[in-house]
Amino acid sequence: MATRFWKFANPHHFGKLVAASTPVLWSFSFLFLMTGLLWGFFFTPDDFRQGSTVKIIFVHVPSALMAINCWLMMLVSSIIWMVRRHRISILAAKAAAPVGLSFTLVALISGGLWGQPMWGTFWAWDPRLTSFLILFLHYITYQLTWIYIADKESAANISSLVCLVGSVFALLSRYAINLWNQGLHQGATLSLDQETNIHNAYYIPLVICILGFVLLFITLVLVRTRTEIIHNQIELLEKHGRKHNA
Amino acid sequence: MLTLITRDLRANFRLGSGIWLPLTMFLTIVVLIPIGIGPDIELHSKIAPAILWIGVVFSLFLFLDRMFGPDLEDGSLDRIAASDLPLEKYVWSKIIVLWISSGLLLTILAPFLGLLLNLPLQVGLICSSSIVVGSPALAAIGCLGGGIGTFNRHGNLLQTVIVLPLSIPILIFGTKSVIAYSNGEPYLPWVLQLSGISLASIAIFPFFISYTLKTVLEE
Repeated sequence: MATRFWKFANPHHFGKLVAASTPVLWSFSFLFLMTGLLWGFFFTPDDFRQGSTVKIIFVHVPSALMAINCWLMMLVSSIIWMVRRHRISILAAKAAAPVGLSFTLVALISGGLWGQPMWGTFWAWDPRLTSFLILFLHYITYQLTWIYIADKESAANISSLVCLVGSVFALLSRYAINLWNQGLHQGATLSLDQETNIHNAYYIPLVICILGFVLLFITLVLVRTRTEIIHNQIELLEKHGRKHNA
Repeated sequence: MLTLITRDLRANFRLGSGIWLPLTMFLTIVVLIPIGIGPDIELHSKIAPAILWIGVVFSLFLFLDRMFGPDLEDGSLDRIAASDLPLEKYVWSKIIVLWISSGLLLTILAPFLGLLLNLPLQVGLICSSSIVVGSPALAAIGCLGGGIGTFNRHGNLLQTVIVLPLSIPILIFGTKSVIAYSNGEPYLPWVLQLSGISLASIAIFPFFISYTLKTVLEE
């Protein structure tokens, strides 16, 4: 199993896998997202206290979930790059960063839109909100390393370092902020062992939405990684060509 | 290693820019913020710990661009990398130098600037004790910024922007300790957690920074 997995560290195999699987992945993520969102927006009852604003949950929760999971994925692939020097791994992290950045932004904005009628404010310096803002900052700094460091190899090294250190300090900030302020944000509503879970009428479309977001994320990252690989090959070819001409 | 520390310290003190720039930056930040707020003394004393801490963060982080540059340009970094001295130790000496030539001096200045912000001297001393405990971590983070800055050929503040979010937990613990003290709550737990972060940072960051320097040398 392990050896079969590392086979895809070869750009050629990886490219073939992506090319074969993208149409399926696109259609499945489209299917899940459409089902989940349409069901969520049109076929669920309004909440007795929140009215129809409760339906923002179908965008807010999955994107927040994916924002964190995307960072974890970037962390894992950065560590794989630092240990095993597989180029695809770091390119996948690079490809995932803008996607995660967008998810974070979507979570922040949808949360603000929900908070305006519910809490009476777009923004509160609540622990969850603040740590999400900090995650957003870390995404931006990660992205900056790729933008401003010209040499590809150095950018890969430094960005994986920034991701590693950033993860530690983001966790530390999360811990510090929990001590810093009491929150407005509700606790977890999807845990398996708690009584205060969300009602079944919302549960099933929400799970479908989350699956749709996961599939969308995987599709986007795979496609973007392949694009990065092709970019790299083009650059290598151009360099080669210049050497030949000179 | 001691030679490295004394060499860098001497260079910093003799050039003047090494120590005067952070101090002036600190002074300017502490003066500018109250001017922006207006003469509301109550408010000043309330946000004084935050102003002092943010001043420390910025005056440590804004002057990172020339940290490893000279050593890289005149080739002494290559010599050190090739010598018996581990690169981590060299980096460690740089952290110590950065801490002495800005963190420590800012600590000494902080309670007096606190007076400008209507912060009682006793609270100011607590503030500077939290700064002296927290600034080694800032120096370690700053050195990482210096390491990243060696890739920076555009003259922008890339290194500062990248390392600024890392200062958030230190800022939280630092200001929280002072606020806890002025509210009459126990402040020692905050200072101790801050010192934990500092000790862990100066132990671990040299490895990260030497990783960046090795990357530079390979380039």
